[in-house]
Amino acid sequence: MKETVGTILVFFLALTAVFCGLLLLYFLPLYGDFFVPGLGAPAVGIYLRGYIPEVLILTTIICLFLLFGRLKRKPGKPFFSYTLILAGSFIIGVAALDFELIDYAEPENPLLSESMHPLTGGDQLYAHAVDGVRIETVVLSGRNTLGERRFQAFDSGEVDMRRRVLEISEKGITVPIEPPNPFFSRMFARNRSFAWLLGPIGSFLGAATGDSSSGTFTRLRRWSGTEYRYFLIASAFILILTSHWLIRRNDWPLGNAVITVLLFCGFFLLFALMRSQLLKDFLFLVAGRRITERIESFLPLLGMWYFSLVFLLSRGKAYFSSRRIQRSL
Amino acid sequence: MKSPSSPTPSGKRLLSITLLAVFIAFVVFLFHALFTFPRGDIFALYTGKWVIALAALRLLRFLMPVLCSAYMVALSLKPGYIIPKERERSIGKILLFFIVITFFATFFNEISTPLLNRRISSMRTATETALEFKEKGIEEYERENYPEALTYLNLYSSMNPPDTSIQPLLDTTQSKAQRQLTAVREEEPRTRPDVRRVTGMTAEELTELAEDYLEREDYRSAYYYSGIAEQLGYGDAARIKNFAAGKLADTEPEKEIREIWSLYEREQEGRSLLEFERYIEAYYHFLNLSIRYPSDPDIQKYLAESGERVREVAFFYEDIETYLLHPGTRDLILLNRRTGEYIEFISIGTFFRDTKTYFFENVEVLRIATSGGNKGDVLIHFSAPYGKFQNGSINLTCISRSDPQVRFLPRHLSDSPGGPLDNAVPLGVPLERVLGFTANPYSFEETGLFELIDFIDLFPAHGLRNEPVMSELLSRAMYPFSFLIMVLLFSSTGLHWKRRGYTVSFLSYLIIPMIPVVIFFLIQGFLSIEKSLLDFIVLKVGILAASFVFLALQGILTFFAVAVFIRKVLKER
Repeated sequence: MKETVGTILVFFLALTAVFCGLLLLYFLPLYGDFFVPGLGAPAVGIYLRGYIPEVLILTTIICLFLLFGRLKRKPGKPFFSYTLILAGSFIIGVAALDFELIDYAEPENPLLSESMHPLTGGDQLYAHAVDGVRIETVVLSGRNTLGERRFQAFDSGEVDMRRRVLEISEKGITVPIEPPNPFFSRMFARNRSFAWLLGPIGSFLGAATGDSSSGTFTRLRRWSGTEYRYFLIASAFILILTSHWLIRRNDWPLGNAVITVLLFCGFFLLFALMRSQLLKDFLFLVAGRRITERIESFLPLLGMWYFSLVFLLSRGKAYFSSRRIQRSL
Repeated sequence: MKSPSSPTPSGKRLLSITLLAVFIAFVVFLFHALFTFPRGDIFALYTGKWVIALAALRLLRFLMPVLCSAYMVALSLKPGYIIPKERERSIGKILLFFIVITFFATFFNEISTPLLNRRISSMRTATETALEFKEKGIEEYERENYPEALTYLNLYSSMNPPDTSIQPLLDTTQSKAQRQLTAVREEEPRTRPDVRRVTGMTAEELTELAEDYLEREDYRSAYYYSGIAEQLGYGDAARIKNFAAGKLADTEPEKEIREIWSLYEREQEGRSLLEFERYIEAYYHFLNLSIRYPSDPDIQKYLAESGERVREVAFFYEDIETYLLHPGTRDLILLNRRTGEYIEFISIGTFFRDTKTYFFENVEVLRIATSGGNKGDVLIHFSAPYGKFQNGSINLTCISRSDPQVRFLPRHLSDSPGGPLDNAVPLGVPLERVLGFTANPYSFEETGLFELIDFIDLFPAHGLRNEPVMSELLSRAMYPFSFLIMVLLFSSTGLHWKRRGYTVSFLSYLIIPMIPVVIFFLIQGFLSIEKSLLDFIVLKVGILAASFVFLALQGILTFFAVAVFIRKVLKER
């Protein structure tokens, strides 16, 4: 027992450290220093403080999922399993953080002097001389179809990154700067392969931790005091703690490992499904009228609790049947 | 002869697993491509090619997870099938097999992926182009411009022959176009070039020229040039003309003289045009004469000469016409040239290429002053419907081989200050690399390795950043290492999580199709982390440092993967 608690603690701390380290490695040098010159050490605190709750929750979920639903552990030979678990957590963690934080990469003016900037939809923008937010000589090329004109030249323009536009006052034109950082956003584009999972993870973390404008302790206090978030986290824990009967179901560890991963993904996808319009439409179809907004907001939680209960009962049944077998033997 | 108990070499068994996995994956991707065929975006005509190309592309893209899954499942369910009892001897063979597979995977990935991507994108572009032709054809029909409508509808029909629904409209347009063309020809007056304007010489200069010919006893030329000078009102020209006429009358009969003279006069007009480098007019002039006098060797000679000269300054629409049926590469945008005085942009609507011929459609040129009092002003802005690559430049003068009325020339756009238009624009990029300057230049899906290497220097010279190029190069260099590392690690995982006992239920096998999916995401995560790290070093320190880090990282990871695999194989019971 002591050993298990110790292992969990080590995992917990290791993963938290990995995530925090990744935050530093991944965001501050790239999106801080490089993108916004002059942004230095104070940003470290801001970023870490802002994202510790997410890191803690994600770490806890991964640890519980993988350790409670243990696959095959031999005392004294844990290295390989640990490596795999760490690698998996590392990948999921980075991907999740990437998805959450990349929007922060917004300097005052992302356009570079004497450079072409490819924009979404096949347009390109040339900025000749950049001075702060002001740009001297702007050339915009629009999409052509069978002979339409493409280039438009302007004397000057001004970048407004709050609205993500380049304003050309002489002609009253606003050019959307999309992607927000035409060169670097492309280089560090999100890996679209993960979008199907990262969306639900982000959605869950958002629901569990609330708005990210305040500091860590305020937010921790706030979500622990809010029933919704408390019950949401609790349902996640129950699901994780009771799902390992499924994970250790057969004698093929690889199969069990795959089920573990699928369950982990399934948990977030289930939550996303509970929040989706699909479920609301289904309820509308069944009930014949729209449910109230308050009930709607509690739908994901109710759904999670329903599945928690099913898992809890299954777990209890499995537990008691195994006791009966033992007694009969 | 082998004894029944002698083990089959591990390599052969791994090869059979590899081939089986590749075959199954290809069939799955074939069906997936078939069921997801975008009917609205791609003509049904391309279904077969599209499905095969897409399945092959997906097979290459997912080859790493497919093979990792295959080896992992095989080693997990039946380790003894691949690893015989003499484990030490088999390790070398297995490792060699994995290295060979890595080599082939990298080779096919690098060679085939850009080609397949280009093929798929060309099918999409061909469909888009044809639909645009159809739309344009219907628009022109509604505007009652039937010849133009017929051209567009014919183009559409030849690009999508199975669509017979267009035939009634095509037939109607054809008959209306013929009627319209006949009516126009009847109205057009026949014009003859004004020689006086053609020569561009003053009356005095023409008289001097006539005197020269007189001294050389070339009375026909003397008569001809003095006649023009006389028409321009130069008194002395009449004297030379009369003298030359007298000499001509002494040598040839009158009626024949008139006939020969008329022909000669027209030949001279053409020669003057050639002499004054007005090759296009000269070409059409001799073309007209050759129709009237098909057996005249002089006319044929001058027609050939003017044809040759025309190719220096223009190209024929008939040559590009056939290319318009092909999809080509669309939307190229290029900061073409930077001098101390101006910057020049070129946009190319469509780029067509053959083995030796290169054509452009919808070319636009914008030049902006970058110094002096007019800094930031538009110096010139024009467009041309067609262009041809000749002698390092894009020639923008397109004419018809047979009809002088058909000309596609550069024209000023509304914000251009005017002035003489360029007949040709030098291309600032080697022609074979111009395809890299698409509307989305940082997407390298269709770019080969050697092109990428060239872009390191070319991109910064043309207003683009080369860091994404370096990042892409590192990613490609990472592929073989990652392939080998992943194969070894997932094979080790298979051995680690091998089947216990003999009670694996049938239902458990249903999980197998999910394994490549899970592995795909794990590999993607691994690759994106490695890439992010290397991109960061490329941006902060440079390509050299990133290369060192890359080599060190791959070395460590490969060593780790090999060590883990050997350990797992040796411990296999």
